[in-house]
Amino acid sequence: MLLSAGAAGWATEPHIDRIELLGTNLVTIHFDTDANRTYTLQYLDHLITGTNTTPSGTWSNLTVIPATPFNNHYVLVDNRTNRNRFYRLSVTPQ
Amino acid sequence: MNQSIFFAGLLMLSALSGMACDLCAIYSATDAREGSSGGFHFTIAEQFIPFGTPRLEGEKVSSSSGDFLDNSITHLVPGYNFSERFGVSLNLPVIYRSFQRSDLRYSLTGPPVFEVERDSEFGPGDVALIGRFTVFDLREMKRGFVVNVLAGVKFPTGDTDRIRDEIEQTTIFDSLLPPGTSHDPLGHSVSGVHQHELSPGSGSFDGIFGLTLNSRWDRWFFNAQAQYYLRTEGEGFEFGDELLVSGGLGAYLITHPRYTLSFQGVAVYETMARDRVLGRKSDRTGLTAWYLGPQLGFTWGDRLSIQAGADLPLRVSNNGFQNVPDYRFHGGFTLRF
Repeated sequence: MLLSAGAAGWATEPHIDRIELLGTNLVTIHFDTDANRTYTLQYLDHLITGTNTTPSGTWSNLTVIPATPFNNHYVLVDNRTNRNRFYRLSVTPQ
Repeated sequence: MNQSIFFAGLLMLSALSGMACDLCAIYSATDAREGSSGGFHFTIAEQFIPFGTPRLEGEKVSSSSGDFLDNSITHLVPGYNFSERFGVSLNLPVIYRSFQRSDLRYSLTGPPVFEVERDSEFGPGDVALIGRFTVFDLREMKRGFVVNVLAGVKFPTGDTDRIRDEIEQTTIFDSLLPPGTSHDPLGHSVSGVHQHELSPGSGSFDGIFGLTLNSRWDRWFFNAQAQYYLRTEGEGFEFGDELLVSGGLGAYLITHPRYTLSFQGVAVYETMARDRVLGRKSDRTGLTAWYLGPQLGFTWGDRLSIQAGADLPLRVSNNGFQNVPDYRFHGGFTLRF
């Protein structure tokens, strides 16, 4: 799914489109990327409950997607090793 | 006269160039035929093309990856002319490709890994057997006009590990997507240098067809040729068909009884259709380009010819994100026995 290059400027706010089970022990995470920006998909296994519902804790990198000259769509695979796992996507430069 | 005609044939060779350029080398062998009634000939021809310019849909783009491909093909071409009108040649390419490619590598057991691979591929490519038939042959002291048709078959003799790996990546990526999701069959790759471009072999039987025209008037000459590569599927991958047309006007600068030197300006048009991966066209492949460049030719006696030239891109229009040629160099020599 190759799209045209994004215009220079602010990145589209990164978001995960979809998280799906794949087979019995895998998960796929889908997201779009803008051109010329680096994306990092992180995960968190243990939710630390606080005053709100936002998970907190030490996030680990699952995959770093280096900047490419074109927009793209990624489908990344992860193992289902825990009962719960949270994901977040960050982009630089924002 | 023999030297002049011989040299005109040499310059026809020099106009031939391209990524898939079996006929370039093949026809260099046939130049030794000019002025002879038959016999063996042997050519060594080299092409060097650095693919260092990343382009997205025809527009130059900057890429921080630094990916590149330096593509060298040395053609060893023994041949035999049964007569002035009919001959055959065997093209044995030896391929050396130095490259860097930065890409995601998918698996079904865990997250994809981003890899930067800097390596080289070396080995024999696909062998081609090509026949030549002269359909028109006018040779006089002051003028000459020769038309050849060429046809042949390229055999899947080169290694195809790279193609198999690319097909495997496509299969894995396909399995990660929900059924029916529209996507490019090379959607797993983010590099401008694809694995199939590194493969010494195509894995397929391909048809090769060509037409050459060689004309001369006194010190001036004009050569033109067209090549068409009809690709078939091999290992799940089908390279796009390719058309290459080139030609240009030249002149003999020196015509000594023992040697000649000539110069020619050559324009090249090249178009490659989209490749098919597991039966699906990829919009990240295919290219149309125009080149213009000088060609120099030298002959010594009637048994040795040497040529060298370069093609500079005037316009390149590619699909998707690809590294395209910075320039192209080609040269070689032919010995006639």
